[in-house]
Amino acid sequence: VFPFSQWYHMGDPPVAALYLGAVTGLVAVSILEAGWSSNNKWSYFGGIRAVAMIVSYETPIALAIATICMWSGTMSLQGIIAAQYRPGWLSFSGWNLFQSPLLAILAGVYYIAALAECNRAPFDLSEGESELVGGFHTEYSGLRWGLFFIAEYSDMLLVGGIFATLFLGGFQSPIGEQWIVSLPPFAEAVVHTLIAGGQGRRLGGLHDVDPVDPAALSHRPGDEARVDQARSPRAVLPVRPRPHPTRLRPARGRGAGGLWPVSVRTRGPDGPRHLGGVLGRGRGRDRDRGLDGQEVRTGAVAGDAPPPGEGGRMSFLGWVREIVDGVESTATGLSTTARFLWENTTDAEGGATALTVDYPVAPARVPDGFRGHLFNDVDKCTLCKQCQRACPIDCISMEGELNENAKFRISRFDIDLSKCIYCGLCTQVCPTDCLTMTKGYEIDPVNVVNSHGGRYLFRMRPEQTKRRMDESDVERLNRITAQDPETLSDEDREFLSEIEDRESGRFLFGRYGMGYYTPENKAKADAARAERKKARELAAAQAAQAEAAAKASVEGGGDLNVATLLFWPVAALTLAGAAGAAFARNLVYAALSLGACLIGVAGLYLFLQAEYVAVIQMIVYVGGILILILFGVMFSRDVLGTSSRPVWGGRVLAAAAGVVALVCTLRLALLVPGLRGTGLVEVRSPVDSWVGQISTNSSFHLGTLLLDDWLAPFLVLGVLLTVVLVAALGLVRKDAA
Amino acid sequence: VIDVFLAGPDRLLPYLLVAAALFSLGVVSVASRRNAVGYLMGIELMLNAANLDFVAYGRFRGPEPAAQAQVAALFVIALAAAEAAVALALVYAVFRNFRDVDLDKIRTLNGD
Repeated sequence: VFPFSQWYHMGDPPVAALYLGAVTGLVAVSILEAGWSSNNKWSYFGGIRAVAMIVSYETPIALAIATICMWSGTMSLQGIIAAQYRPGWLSFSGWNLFQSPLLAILAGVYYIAALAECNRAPFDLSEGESELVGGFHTEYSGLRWGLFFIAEYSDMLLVGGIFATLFLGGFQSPIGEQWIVSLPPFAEAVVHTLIAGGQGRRLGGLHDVDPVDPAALSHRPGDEARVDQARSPRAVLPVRPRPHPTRLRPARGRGAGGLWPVSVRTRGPDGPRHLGGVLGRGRGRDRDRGLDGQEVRTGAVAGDAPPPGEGGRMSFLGWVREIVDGVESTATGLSTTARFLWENTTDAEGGATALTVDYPVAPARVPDGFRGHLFNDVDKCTLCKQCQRACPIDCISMEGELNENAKFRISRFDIDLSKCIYCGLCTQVCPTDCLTMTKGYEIDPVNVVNSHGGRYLFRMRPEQTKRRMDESDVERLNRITAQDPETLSDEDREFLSEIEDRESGRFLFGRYGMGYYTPENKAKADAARAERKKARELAAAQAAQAEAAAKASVEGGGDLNVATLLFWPVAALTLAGAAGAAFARNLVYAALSLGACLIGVAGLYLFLQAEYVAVIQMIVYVGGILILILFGVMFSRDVLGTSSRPVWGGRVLAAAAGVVALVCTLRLALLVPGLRGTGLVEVRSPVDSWVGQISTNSSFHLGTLLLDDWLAPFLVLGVLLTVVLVAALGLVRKDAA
Repeated sequence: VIDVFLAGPDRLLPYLLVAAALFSLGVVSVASRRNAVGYLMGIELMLNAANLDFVAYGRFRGPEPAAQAQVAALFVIALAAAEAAVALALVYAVFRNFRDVDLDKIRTLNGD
């Protein structure tokens, strides 16, 4: 639903703002599950911390969005942007940011809450490296880890976009409306970013990261920032505050939820005793609260359930002090962060600092003690083999020979870089300090010889050669390989055959496994690869064409439309989810299936043109009730249902009850007057184009009804919810037992 | 049958079928689960089935606009949220006292 311009959007339902809330509400489920399924206590803590934080800060976000919706009088994002339109050159005067001081404060609140929502510093405590390693995604690697990060960065993109939509006039140009037509959609966002973040300087474009570039694999400070910057400019605001040194303590991070007076403060488990110092506030009874001590408190009803302090209840003043503390520490962190917005972004040479490394244009700087490539000064090496013994993975091997002075000198020194972990143990044991680690980190198949003077070579197999290579040999080899093989002299051929691996035809050096070490060979390999890729693409295109033709012939026959094609899969998802919820033995699976079922029901509401109910279903059921149920399952320690497996009689009874219920509901459904006969297949206002546009604005009618016919029940419901909130808090209080 | 299948989303019957199946599965869940949280999931299934019926009847059978039925569905959702919160709080309290959430074992009023 996110609008990139007046025309670039997937659809703009009248409840777009709510829809955003519904989608972001799903995040909590996946994070909780990711932490749980890692089978790792720390990952689970990370997940719980992340969920606690996300849920806490969703409230300020929702309130901010709701305020803007009321201010603009619409929930449609296009409508919100249109409401910020002002003709003339000063079009930024229409931005919600400048409409009222309160809205400016609201923008600040939203910004802070959004930072927390996408786990950016100073709110990255869900993955505090020193405490929980990576948080909920510690146990994930490779593509799965990649998915988490794609999700995280898309989240930032989205949050930045929402900020622009709500407060900065969306895609509209800040100065003069004619820019709208003269600039491509993203360029306007760049202009906004220039104004909002003052960071236009670094928006020059995406740096291509070569996937085989080994430098991209070596972890250096600045790497993350560099990748951050290579995103859409809209995302710069949330991304910018990354490199700053302080992190809030967890309790503080959540305590700062009090920055919105009525926001719900959620307190996660403070971890077992030995983590009390870092996870919790680490004092009093907080320390003793383990996993079972999960408590949810509301700031608004703090008088009923004050947080336990030193030796008992905390006074009201104490509670206020805690909020002030939280706000203060948030402000401290953010001010440190904010300094980096304009300070310290260039170093003496005019290059980028640790914030952004302009590699490979500017050389990347490495810290002192960086363990790069191994370098062996063979003149000093005494062939003591200490390094070989020190190496934990046996990647070093060497041979020696007596030289003309009857001194034992090294003739071969190999490091198998496919094994080396750059631990540096070999350099520490070296008695002559001839084996050192340089600060080099590039392994370039073309330049490995030249840049490192041929001091060490990698070979396919140790038996490939007995010959020691020195620099002149390397130069000669380079010269030979650059020549046309036909024009080689006999001496050169002999030299080659001596060092060549006769079986595989590969030379003894180069990046092992790659097979090429000259630009020509690389070009040849690249050309072959490109050809194969072209052939693959051609085949894929032909297959797609054939498929499209087949599909067209099918569709020409029946009167299937998109809605029908989608309806039955959604219905099947609903039923499959319900079956899983009813039958899965593992209760976590059952809860997840229930989630699928709830999402399917939301989809069915869409088919019924009840998009408001669908969105509420997503927010309340999937984002709220499902999370509660998951917590309930996980905390009741009966995930596998071992203590509560249904007995056989129970199963028979259940099946019988199910059948009876099915028959009864169907009979009742069919007994409704006027439903018999053709009534069931009657068509009323067919759903033909629900994907693109929803014709009836049902949310409008809903709002009217709620505040008119149903006002009294609505108010009663509100009172009931408040009572329920207090009652639930009372039930889970520790001293209530 | 083929006619119903082809025009799925525009007919009332498919929604009724889905809702009936949801409700039955909810009944099965409630009848067979002894874990309190699993029990709760069955209740949620039944509530969803009722909601789906509400909205479907509202769209195909009720007066225009169909929003009356949707208001009812919204109320059910809100009440379900309240019910889930209290029920899980109860489950938690029960778990703290009994170290178990098996509904069949919590029967101390029975005199055992």
